[in-house]
Amino acid sequence: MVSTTAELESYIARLDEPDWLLTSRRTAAAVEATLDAPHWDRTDASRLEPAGFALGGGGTVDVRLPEAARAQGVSAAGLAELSRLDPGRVERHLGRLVPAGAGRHEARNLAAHHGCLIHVPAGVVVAEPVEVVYRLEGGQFHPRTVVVLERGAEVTVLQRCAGGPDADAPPALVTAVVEAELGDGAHLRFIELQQWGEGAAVYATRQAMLGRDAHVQWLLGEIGGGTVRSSTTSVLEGAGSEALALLAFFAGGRQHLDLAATLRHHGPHTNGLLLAKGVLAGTARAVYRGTSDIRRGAKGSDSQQKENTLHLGHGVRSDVIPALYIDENDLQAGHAATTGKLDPEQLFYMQSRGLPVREAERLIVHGFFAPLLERVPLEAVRQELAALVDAKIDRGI
Amino acid sequence: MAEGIALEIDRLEAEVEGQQILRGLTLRIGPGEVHALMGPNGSGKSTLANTLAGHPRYSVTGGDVRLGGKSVLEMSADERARAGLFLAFQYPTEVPGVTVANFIHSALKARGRELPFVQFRKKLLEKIALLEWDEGVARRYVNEGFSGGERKRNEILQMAMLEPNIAILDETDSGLDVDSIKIVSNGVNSLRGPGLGVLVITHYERILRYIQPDFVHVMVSGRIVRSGGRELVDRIERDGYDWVREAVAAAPGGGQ
Repeated sequence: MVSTTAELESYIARLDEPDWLLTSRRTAAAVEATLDAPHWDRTDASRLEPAGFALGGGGTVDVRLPEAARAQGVSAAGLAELSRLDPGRVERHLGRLVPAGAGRHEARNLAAHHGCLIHVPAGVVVAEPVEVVYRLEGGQFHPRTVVVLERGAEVTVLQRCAGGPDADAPPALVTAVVEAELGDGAHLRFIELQQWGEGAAVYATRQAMLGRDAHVQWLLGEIGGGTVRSSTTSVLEGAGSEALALLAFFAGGRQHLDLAATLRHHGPHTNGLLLAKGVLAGTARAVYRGTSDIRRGAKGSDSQQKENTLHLGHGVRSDVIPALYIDENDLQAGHAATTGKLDPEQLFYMQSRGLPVREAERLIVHGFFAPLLERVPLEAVRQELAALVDAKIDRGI
Repeated sequence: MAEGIALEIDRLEAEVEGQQILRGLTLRIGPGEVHALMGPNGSGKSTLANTLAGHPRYSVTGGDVRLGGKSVLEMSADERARAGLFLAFQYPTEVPGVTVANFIHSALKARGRELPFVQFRKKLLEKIALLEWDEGVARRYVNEGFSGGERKRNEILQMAMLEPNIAILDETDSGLDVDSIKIVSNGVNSLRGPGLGVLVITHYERILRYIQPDFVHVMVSGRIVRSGGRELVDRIERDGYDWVREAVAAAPGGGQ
């Protein structure tokens, strides 16, 4: 991997950034060089190797901070810009939850990141969502979103990941990282609509660290990407903290989604719920890994997982791999999973009303996701996700 | 539907899983006519309903079915529906996560008869009221958690909204109490008119007290063996089906 490391170093050398940031990038690059290539069961890690993907100019970052939020003292800006305006804050938070040592892709991301930092001061409740748009152009793209909520702050972050090659175009590589620090009593709703082109190989790591009584709600719409390895972890550190992870995935064609959601309970009386719903069509493959990791001291905690998969065709395959690691006696934990096929009687019933097969399937898919989306009180987001599902059906799944 | 069209079933033969069920059934339902088709269990009534609607599990081995003069045998179930045929199911399935309103709206759209939201809502609420139902049903998921009576009411609600030319009611009365039968029948009666032909398939005579048929047919072993009027219903109510079976068995070439 000398060649990719050398390429990374020469990429960093070309950047016009403060010395401390360049040093942080070089350190991450050095860490990457010391780590072994990952090896995963069920997903071919070699598809996500950076070698062969051009580095530099891989995509764009666009951050939209509502005017009212700016007036409340919220800041949201690209990391490059913020590194000059407020270097101390970037230095304090960048790479804190997802450091270079977390893995090869995390290290590469920290060495070559584009990204943004959103900071909400203590007690500030932001009404409108802060929007982040990452647009992939090609080669390698390494977006990183850092969210910092001080004590009692509340915000919704809506992140859209789009662009990049179609399934038949020359492929691109994305590593996408989210780091979210929630102070005591802070509430974060993090929504990501992932619709990278199906020619993109995607590695995503999202991590939230929760203070006392803090709440995080994830809504992840995983629609795009060719090979996707995505992992979302809520670290319930503070007593009484709570995480809800809603994961909607929809794969068709030759897509391969390997999705993990983890609840790590450290604090007492912490609650976690993972709800995943996925639809597979074509010859798509999905692996879903739901994990409840309950550490000693997380007394009175509750960790629950529910997963449903719907197979629209016969060529698909899904594996659900639930895991419970429990090092505490006083707790509740549970897991339920179902896999269903399209019911021919249901299809006939819908056809008999005049709905062609594709329109019947469209209703069935929307209906399948409905109970999950009902938990998201943002009508505009529900409609946007529904539109992504429709567009995918229109392209042919 | 301004103009009515006829459904012509012409010497229809059909089988399911290799077993012949319909053996040359002939029946014509003209515009505006209400026909009752009665028969004992196993006579092939539901096979007829499903075959007409185009269920892929039923295959036609002979004869023809024409809607407005055009054969429907090469049409898929959704094409038949868009051509004006409606089947009220004996056992309607659930459609999880899809509301009654959205389901009907989508079906109208597929038929190229999408209504503006305000108009759609007004009409839907009218039809719900016609079926003596709570308007909250519009927001419930199709048939999920519905009682047997509610499922049948939902079938008639869809029929009222979709305005087919020909409606087949497959044992819509089965499992219903008298009050529900009355409500469902009132709904059907309110839709009667020159644009709608109806085939009421039933095992019991009860629903025919509320939906008055113009013609009555009795089916045994995959064929219609008696056709007439009200008097056939009365005879079946009094004597059951045995007399028909015996009469068919005694007739030359009958009882096969």
